[in-house]
Amino acid sequence: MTTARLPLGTFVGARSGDKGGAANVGLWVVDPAEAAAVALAHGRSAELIPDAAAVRLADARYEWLVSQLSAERLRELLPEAASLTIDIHPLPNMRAVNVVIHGLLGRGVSQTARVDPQAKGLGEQLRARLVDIPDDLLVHSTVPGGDL
Amino acid sequence: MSEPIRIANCSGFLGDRLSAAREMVEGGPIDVLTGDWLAELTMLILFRQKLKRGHGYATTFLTQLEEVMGTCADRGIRIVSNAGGLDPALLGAEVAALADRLGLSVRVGVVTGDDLMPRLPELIAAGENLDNLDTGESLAEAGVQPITANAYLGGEPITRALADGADVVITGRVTDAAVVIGPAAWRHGWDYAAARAGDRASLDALAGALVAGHVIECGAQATGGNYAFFQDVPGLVHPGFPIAEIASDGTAIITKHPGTGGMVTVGTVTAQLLYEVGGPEYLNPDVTALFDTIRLEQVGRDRVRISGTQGAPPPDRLKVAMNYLGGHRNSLTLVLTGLDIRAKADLALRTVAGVGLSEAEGQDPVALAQASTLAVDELEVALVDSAIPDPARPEQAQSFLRLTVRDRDADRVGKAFTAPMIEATLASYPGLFPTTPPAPGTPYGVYWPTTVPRELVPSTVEVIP
Repeated sequence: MTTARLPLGTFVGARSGDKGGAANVGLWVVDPAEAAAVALAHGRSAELIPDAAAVRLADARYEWLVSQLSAERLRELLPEAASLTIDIHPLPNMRAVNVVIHGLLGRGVSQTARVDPQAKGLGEQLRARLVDIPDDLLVHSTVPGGDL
Repeated sequence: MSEPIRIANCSGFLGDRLSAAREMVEGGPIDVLTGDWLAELTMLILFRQKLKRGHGYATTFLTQLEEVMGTCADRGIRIVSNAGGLDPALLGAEVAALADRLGLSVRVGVVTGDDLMPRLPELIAAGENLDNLDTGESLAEAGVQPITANAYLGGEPITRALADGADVVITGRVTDAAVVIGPAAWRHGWDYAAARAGDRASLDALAGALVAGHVIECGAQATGGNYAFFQDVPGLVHPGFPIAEIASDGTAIITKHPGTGGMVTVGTVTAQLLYEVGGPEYLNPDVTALFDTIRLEQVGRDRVRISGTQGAPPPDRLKVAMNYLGGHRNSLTLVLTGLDIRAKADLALRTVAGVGLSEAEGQDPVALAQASTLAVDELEVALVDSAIPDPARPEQAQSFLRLTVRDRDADRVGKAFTAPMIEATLASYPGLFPTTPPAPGTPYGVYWPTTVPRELVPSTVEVIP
């Protein structure tokens, strides 16, 4: 299978934050109905029920995302986390994965010398990492972020 | 079966958009106005404010309330706020005084019992070690003295206050979602005791409200704010704040007032559901929500339905947020320009701290402080090597050496830390200058999460007048 070297954020969203000294980053693949929801939000008409191909694409992308988010792979993407404990919680019902990195923020926002002390940008940092994305996850895309 | 209750959020933190309360009250029909004014760090900010000004509540809430309380009284909109912070009773009295000034007949409910500071000796005597939830260390082992200690209360006392006739409910530390669970349970008559005993319908209803509350607790983060695909979001310079319409079975629709900026999609709701969470079991004093059962569905323009959420009985122990004064900290960032960045950083570091760069990188802060000539408890060194070769513009030529020190003693992180480098300004590597002038250190707090048994934390509800 051929792949393209692209940012993880091509069709993966993320939001990150802090809980004391731990950081969490939740990642999800774009919902098959998202393009229609965005169109409606802009006052255009759209069909909210996604077609079967869009659902299959989202499912395939989620399966790939889960494969990319092993603790080992995350330590490559985030070398800062090399010696830290990482918990990975898949949430297939939302096509999402929650990642908790213990101790990334030392003893918390007020104490840490990290340049991003509350991990507010951690999700966007991860989305900017280049990864090898299989071509078939990029084609026939009808969702935002997938129009290449 | 009661109609869904429309609960609006108008604040995600202390400092959020001041006009949001007015926007939510005037922008369309709502039943309840809520918000969150308390982050973990906010309790420390309020502690310092209390030392200086005598009260530890969020004063901006009073400003917001002054703009909307008359309209809310006219339209029967209830208000639930955790802006009481460290002083819910004081804020409750201020709200009652404000209502008097405005000539309004408003009953104010105050929820207390979360503040454990006066009760710490008693809790320790009862055998509670107040172990750190993250590190397992006991408070006695750590030898630290908390300056704030607040149990997270749930929605139940808020429901009691509303049932007792409160138009405005003021709390201290409650979970962020409790301000939403409380009114939903009040409207729909949900039974907290049945939920604790394992009743499925009660658990699922409360869990649904907990999830809806989690989605709207951070204001515009549910309506397109801070959203990964922000370029899809219309009107993001001024997004509307979120509303949860919660039905009697706990299912909810997340939406916003029509005509406002932002958007509500499965994506914006998913993003917020994942914000600052851990495993799939999301704990709250009233119920545990199982995040792996949540179903999201776009049902219309800016309308996302949350259903399927299952609940489990809440934990026997309540989470407690403690903060202690960790000490004082200071930082100095030196700009390194052009060639030989590592050699320049090495010289600067040996001048300030008597250690070389290679020796300092990746070193434990306590060990590094001991190896250094600085009389501080901790030293951290970071070289941000951001310059590129053949730089045409100044920012392409700049790298940064950042030194951070911490100590129990404020003086040791003040001039004693910054003076050696400043004195060497004309006597060190070429191009030396700091990003900001040297400053005195600042105190820093450290968060200490722990738990105590629920039965040791009774909550009190008082409605005035």
